[in-house]
Amino acid sequence: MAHDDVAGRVATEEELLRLPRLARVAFAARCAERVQAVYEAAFSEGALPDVSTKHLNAVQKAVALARAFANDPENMKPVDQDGFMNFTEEAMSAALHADSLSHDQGTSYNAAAAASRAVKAADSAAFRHDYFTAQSASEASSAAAQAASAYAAIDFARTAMRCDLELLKAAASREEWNDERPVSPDFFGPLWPEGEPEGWPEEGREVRAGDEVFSVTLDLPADVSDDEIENLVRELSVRLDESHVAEGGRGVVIDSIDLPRRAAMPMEVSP
Amino acid sequence: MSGRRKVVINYRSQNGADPKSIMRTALREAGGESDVEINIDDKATPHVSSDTSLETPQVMDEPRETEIVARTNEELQQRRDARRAAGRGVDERRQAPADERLAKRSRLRGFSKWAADAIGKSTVGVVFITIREWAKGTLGL
Repeated sequence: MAHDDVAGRVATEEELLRLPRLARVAFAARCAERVQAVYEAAFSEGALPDVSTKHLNAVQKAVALARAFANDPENMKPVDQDGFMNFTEEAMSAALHADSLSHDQGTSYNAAAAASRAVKAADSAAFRHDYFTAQSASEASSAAAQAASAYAAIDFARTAMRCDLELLKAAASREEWNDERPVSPDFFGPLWPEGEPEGWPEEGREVRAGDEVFSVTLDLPADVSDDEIENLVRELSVRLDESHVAEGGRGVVIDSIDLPRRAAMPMEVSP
Repeated sequence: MSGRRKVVINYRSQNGADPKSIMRTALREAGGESDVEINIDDKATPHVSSDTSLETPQVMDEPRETEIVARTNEELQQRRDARRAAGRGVDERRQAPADERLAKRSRLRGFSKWAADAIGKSTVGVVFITIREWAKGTLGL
């Protein structure tokens, strides 16, 4: 069953070729990661009876490898030597197993195919095959959009993928990225900028902030005054708040501050 | 006596329903990857112990910390109110365009340099930021 919708691709090869190499891989990984939950949900709900845990692992590993390669290609050299192609084929095998089930309507197939294309993009990037990297990334975006369609979330997915792409393009241009510039998964922000689509699988629900606390330590010279410290705390907090809001959050608050304590000056006592 | 003053600021999301990844993405620009201790300036000059006569010892008490937290949070709240007044809904999640997101990240990245200038230390390495994330309650912290 063919599910590629060339006309409906989120990003064309030509557009992706204008991105640095690792940015293409990061984009592909991100597309696949966004719909990984579709495959996981179908598996956990028993909708894929002929699909084994091995297939599920193959899909998850393919996405993780593509993401890791974009983030740190040097650290992936051992995998590179063994060949990403094995992971590409395993994820594609997972896709084809899902595709053999007529009731799946191509949903799980496309989620797994996106994973397969993502790791294929990493493989092509490892060998500096720019066109094939772009082609695989483009196919990953197409497959991801098709996978999301099962949840009536195709527009959500397209919007989210375009956000990622625009961010990569802007950063690459603004910061003059080269082909070797790694892209951390944290670069992108939330998978669903405006929240998960309605009815989206629980497996794909992002971890919420809750009351989780992030500690930031400022290591300052000894002679900084308390007023200066307050000024620094204020400025950092405002900048952090602005960035948090720009990324789609609703701002930050300070939970607590630990200021350095010093021993009190011993009082002089007259003999 | 230590020659440095380490100030630990514990932040959390104003709305717990926001994805945790947003905070991580924002903070990454301030000091590197989360969970990893990173000096944001590799060219930091090593600390030279100060003359103790210059470090007038003092006792820092908790009300001072409470005041700073209250004043800063008040200002952040005012900014939220201003955003709301400008038409942004209370519970709305809206991501800014790519250029604006990058501009805010860049501003956060520039904090250490700004801080160095603000406290009159033109030499590099005046401010280091390390970031750790932890869950209140679950880790017993």
